[in-house]
Amino acid sequence: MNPTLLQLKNVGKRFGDHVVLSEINLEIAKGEVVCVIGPSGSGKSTLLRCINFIAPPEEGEVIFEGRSWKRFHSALNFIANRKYEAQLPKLRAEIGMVFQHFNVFPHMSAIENVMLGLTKVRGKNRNEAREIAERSLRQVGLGDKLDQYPEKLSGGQKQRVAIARALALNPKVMLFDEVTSALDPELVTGILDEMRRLASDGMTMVVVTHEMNFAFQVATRIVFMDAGRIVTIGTPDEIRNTTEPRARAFLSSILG
Amino acid sequence: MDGYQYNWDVVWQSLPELRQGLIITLQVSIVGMALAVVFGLLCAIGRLSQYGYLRKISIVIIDFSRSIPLFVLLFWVYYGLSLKFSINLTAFQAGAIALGITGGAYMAEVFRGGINAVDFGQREAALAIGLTQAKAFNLVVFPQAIRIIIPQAVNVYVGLLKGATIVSVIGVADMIYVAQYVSLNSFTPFEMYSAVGVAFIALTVSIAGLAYLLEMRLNRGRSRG
Repeated sequence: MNPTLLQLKNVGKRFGDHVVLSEINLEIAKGEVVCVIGPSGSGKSTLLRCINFIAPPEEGEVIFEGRSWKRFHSALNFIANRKYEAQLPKLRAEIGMVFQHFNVFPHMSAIENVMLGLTKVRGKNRNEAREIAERSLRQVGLGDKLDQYPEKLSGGQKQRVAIARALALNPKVMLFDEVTSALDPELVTGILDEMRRLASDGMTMVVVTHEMNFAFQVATRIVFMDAGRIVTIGTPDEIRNTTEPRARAFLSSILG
Repeated sequence: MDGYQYNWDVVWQSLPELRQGLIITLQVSIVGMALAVVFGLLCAIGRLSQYGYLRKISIVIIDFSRSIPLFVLLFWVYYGLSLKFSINLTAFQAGAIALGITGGAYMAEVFRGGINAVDFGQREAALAIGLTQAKAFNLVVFPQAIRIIIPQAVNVYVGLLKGATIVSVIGVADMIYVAQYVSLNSFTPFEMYSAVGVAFIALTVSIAGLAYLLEMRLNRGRSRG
């Protein structure tokens, strides 16, 4: 077993009074592909957002490469919280994220989208950044669209820009949040193939998805969530043969 | 019954003074708008802050500034500050500040609307690549918001431009002041104020035209996506 890269310890998240996540414990080794499945509203996307603190968890901690990240509850810890917030960009720069709705920056061309993090986060000069960005975009098959603005790109191409934008920063783990859900059906396969390629290159990945075939083929482990909790975790085979009633019900409703 | 005898010659004769007044009107409204942009942006940032107390303070300031008639505000800034705090402003300064406060309240809402109109996912994506909150705002959110903000900011400016006609009451020598002054001797208020009206129509139409060109430029080859 590879060493642990990422660990969620007792993570909990609330939006006001509404508990979205509770008692999430998950350990992810380097090189693993963990697929998170479950009914909508079960907290899958929020779980991803807790990992890079785009939606900071109120409870528990995230341990990334041995360093613990958590916020302090008491208002007296205002200064400590500010310090911790100032550190968050460092954590996020090591974690790539791809979204359901692409979220490419519409006011920038494809290559500018990819260069932004390189110049403003990694501090590379424009030439260096352009070179890396170009390589990244070529890898996802967009070598001929470098200077296109997003509005001229299809959904699949936008999602490739988003993947290139994340990969260009050389992240240690990639988070995928239902990245094929907003795509036209004929474009889904291309994006999934891109993810398979990444997985076989050894990238550590956490993938929230409704694509069961992908999950069962590519995942090293599958996490089944319901109502803000992890119900069961196992290898694809273990999940396929699970006796846990909620997971069974969910799988049979999807797989038929 | 004799018809009213129009005397447009007076207008032509007072063109140099009217032109002077126009320049003052433009100056006071532009300085006022600059103040409004700064004041409005600060209020909008406060309004959108994650800290509850900043949000509340901003709401109070915005509502307060928006509720006072410009006329009253003008007197408070010009005479009030002088009487209460011995802060003596020139009429021009007081006029610009009053316009800045009124316009700022509207600009705050314009900024907030523009910023809120940018999809939340844009901010998430900007943070996810490791940008700080400030950089995410400056490089990703604001450049998209500005396209929504500009047309509305032009509306605010046109409002301020017309509002600027009130500064004559504290003695700023703007176009209205000139028209009033000339009319006192020639008894031709209708002609003089009409001339001012025409000047305003011309100004407003040109500003709208410029804003349209600017908008086209900002949108060239790009749109939301």
